[in-house]
Amino acid sequence: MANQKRETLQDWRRFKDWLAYGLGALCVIIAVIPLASILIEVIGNGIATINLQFLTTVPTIVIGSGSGGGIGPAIQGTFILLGIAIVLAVPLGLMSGIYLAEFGDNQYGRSIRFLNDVFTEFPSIVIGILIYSLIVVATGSFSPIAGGTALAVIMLPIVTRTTEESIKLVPNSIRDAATALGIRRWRATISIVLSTAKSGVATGILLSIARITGETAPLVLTILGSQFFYYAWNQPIDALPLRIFRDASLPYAYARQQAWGAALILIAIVLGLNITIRLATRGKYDASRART
Amino acid sequence: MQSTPAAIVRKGGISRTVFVVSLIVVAVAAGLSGYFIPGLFKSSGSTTTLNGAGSTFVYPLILAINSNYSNINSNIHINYQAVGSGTGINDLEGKLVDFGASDAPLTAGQTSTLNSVSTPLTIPDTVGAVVVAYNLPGIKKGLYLNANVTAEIFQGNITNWSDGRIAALNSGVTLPPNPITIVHRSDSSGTTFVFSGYCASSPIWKLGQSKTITWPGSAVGANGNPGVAAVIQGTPYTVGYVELDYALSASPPMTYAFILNAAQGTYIEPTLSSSALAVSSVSNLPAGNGNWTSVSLLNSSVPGAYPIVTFSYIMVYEKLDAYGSAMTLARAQDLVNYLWFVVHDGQNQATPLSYVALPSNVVANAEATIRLITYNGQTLHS
Repeated sequence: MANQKRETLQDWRRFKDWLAYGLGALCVIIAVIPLASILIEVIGNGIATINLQFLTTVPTIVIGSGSGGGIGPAIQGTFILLGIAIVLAVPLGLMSGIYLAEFGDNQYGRSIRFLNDVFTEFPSIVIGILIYSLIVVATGSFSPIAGGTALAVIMLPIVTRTTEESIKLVPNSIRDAATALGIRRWRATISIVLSTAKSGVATGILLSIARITGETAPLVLTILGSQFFYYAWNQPIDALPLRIFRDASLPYAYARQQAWGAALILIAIVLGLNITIRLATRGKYDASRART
Repeated sequence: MQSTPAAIVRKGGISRTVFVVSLIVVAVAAGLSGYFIPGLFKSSGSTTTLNGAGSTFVYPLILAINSNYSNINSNIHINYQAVGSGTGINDLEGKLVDFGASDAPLTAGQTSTLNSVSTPLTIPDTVGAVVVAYNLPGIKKGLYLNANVTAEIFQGNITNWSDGRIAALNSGVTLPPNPITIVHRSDSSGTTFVFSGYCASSPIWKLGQSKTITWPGSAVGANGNPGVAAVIQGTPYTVGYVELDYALSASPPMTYAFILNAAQGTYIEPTLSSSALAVSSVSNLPAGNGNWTSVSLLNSSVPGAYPIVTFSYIMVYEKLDAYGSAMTLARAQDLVNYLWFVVHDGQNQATPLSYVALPSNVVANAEATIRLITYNGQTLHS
């Protein structure tokens, strides 16, 4: 009797185990469906347009010409904007993140942290308007500088926040050990704490780059868009999200085709940056790996 | 956890270097590749680029003219961005672009703002038709509409396709019993200005004539002519207004209504020739630096003329030195040469794209306007 009861109980537990397992697997599948469907759709529609000419020539959306030309200026513009935004936002974000994590446990630090969090939630179009009035109107031209600055402003709070969070994860025992060895505080912060947290910091930077690469709204107000390659720091340039936005809303088939191709390239650039930085920062002594 | 510190401290310095270097490399490579790519693909060193922004109505035509112009003058690039008529004039006010393009004449307010920089000049660049496009499965182009019924549909008085007032004009057509979805421009638009002007020719219309209209609550907004065209194509039982070429060159082609020419009592299909008739009788155009607010090509009484037709304009400043150091004499000369090209050889591009080439009296008006443009007091075209 007792034996039989135990078996029923075991069956019931086994069933619950399988149920939970099945539900978990189902959730994973559901979560992956949108991602996979986006990738399949973009690759399926975009792959046919990709060739060297498409990547290096200017767009020629003229009705009746039969061809939409290339997206060279958009690819170039996206790299220029990313370069400017990274140079402006990453050093500043890293430093403010380090400050908040290591030295920010006071009234001043708390208010900066609060303002930074508010800043993260700012709609990107508002940042576009801000840069439009601060830089575009003041300099009298749409420019890559204005676009890059707008993207840097979006990037900055994300880099700051993730840097702070990852540095906070570094155990205090490491800082104590560094101090015990007679290492100065700044040296310990840079060489030991930051190095331990670098995987998290890099992830934060990656997320922010991925975020700004796809931003369209602030670019409409800061770089205008262009059919030509970069030629002056104070003139409009093109960018991939802007090109996709303009092309996708045209009713012509080859403009849409161009937009699909541009979308595929945009995804490839984000993915490429992601993998590159991952590989470059995959040290042997990550905090995450050291724990195991 | 206890073994963690030793493991990290051992080689912390090396991974930090790798981290910082990789970041710098990525940033610099991204920036530099941007700067060096044009060196690989650009042919000549010195090019001038003129920037224009505005009307989406005229976008396909200006692109064709620009591409044609660049073939002849390979060192001059014309960058035109279709941001909408309203934004185009705003950008001109901020001296952010060299020319603006709008389908609506400058309002008194716009003129006075622009005047603080320099007198704005109005140059007609083409004539085009606005069509009432719809998506009714199974119904081809050629639904009959007049100003009253159009006004009632877009005002929200007629909410269903099977409404008796539409049926009364279209005997023999089986209209579906589905609610009407209005698609309109969400941006400040010259096309909206023209279309609302046509609706305003009916006494029923209460929403006025403007580049932005307060549409009925259930209406759907879309950005630019392309946006409206795309929404109509993608959504059954919608109705909206787009420029003729957007309707004709869309794939699959859009369906659109034939509009009553009230003077003749006939329903006119929007075509190139029926739009051209509307401009054939135009005369007494104001001077380029004058007031164009009353210029209208709507409801032409010429037999066979399509009623919803408009000029599209390019707006530039009379004194180009108002731009300051951003505008050199050479650049000003390039701009004037380009404008001259637009109203002359550029007009050859119009017909294939279903725009009406400017009649000779309008071209003469535009020529006189272009001659008004100066740089530091110097005339740029004789």
